[in-house]
Amino acid sequence: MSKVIANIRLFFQGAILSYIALFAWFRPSQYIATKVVGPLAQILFFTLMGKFGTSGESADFYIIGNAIQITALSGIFGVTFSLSGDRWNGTLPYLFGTPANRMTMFLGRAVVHVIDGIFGVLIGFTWGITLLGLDLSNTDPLALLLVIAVTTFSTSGLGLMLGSLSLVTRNVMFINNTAYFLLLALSGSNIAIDRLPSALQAVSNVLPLTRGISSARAIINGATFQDVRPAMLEEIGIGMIYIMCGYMLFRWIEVLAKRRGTLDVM
Amino acid sequence: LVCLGLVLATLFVLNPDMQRWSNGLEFPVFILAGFLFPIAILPQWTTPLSYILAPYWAAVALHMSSNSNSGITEIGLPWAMMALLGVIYLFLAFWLFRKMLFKARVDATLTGQ
Repeated sequence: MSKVIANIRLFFQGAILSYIALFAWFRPSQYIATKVVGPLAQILFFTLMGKFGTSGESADFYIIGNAIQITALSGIFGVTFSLSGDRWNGTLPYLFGTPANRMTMFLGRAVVHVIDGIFGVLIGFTWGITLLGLDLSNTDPLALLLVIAVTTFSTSGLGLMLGSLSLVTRNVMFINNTAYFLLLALSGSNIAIDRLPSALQAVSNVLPLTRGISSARAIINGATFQDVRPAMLEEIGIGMIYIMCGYMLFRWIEVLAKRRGTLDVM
Repeated sequence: LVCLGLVLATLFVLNPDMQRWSNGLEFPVFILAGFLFPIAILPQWTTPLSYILAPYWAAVALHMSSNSNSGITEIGLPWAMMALLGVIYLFLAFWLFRKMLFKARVDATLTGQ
């Protein structure tokens, strides 16, 4: 029992400390630039492009898709910074030198970014409602919030996996940017999945966000959470798979680095 | 575009937080430059902003060159605007660079963050 309590304490303390020390957008100007203005620019760009390219079809498709996709900022970049920050700041040996539960330590890094990701999506929806006339009158707000939370969780799972890569490569930002734009192209945020070639549809099906975006569109069109529950369960499953892959990578890198004495090697 | 980048580079050195803003500038430049859709669909007040961006004139030149009705003289105007804006950006970057160096000496941050 005491071990469980210790792990719970480690989970939350680790989350708070990694937020204070390693949150990439801690300063207000940085947060506004990345999490408020940046998403607005993205939503505007793709909505204008989509409306022009489809001769004025509903802008809601692009607004909803991009508003949900914005969670990848926190889920991928934020989580990766939380993991790579220890390496860049030279605290990785202390992290791997502790006897602390690795899963607790690993998962705790993503908690704040899941919350921040939800907040970021809500900011995106605010822009959509105030500037682009997104209509949420048929939406169950709790169902939408749940969809956003599940989608953010699964995207953070991908972020944890990519963050583990940051422990072995200096080029993780290249990987993160590729993943971000891959999600833009293949998650259904800007291109309907059924318009993609079948090979790319297969890739879409294993990415986070895909089911979250389609579920959000359904909820905003009047569906209930029961209607999207199967998709949400799949989204949670995908997130769990990414988390487990990331954790196994994290443990493997730790063992390898200790064996080779390369914990501090950049 | 390189000259515009030089202007932004000096701003980044003056204020490190500007690096975050540069990520957010990507899409507004795409929107205002008219690469993927005409700026006519944007509000009228954004048109002067497009005119002072060199990428806008590059997009105009590209669209004109792909249009067989446009001759070399018609494309000359966007080329001239690109060159003029490039020179303006260079002078602006030079002025900002001097400001940046002076500020770094005053703040004693030449070797610091």
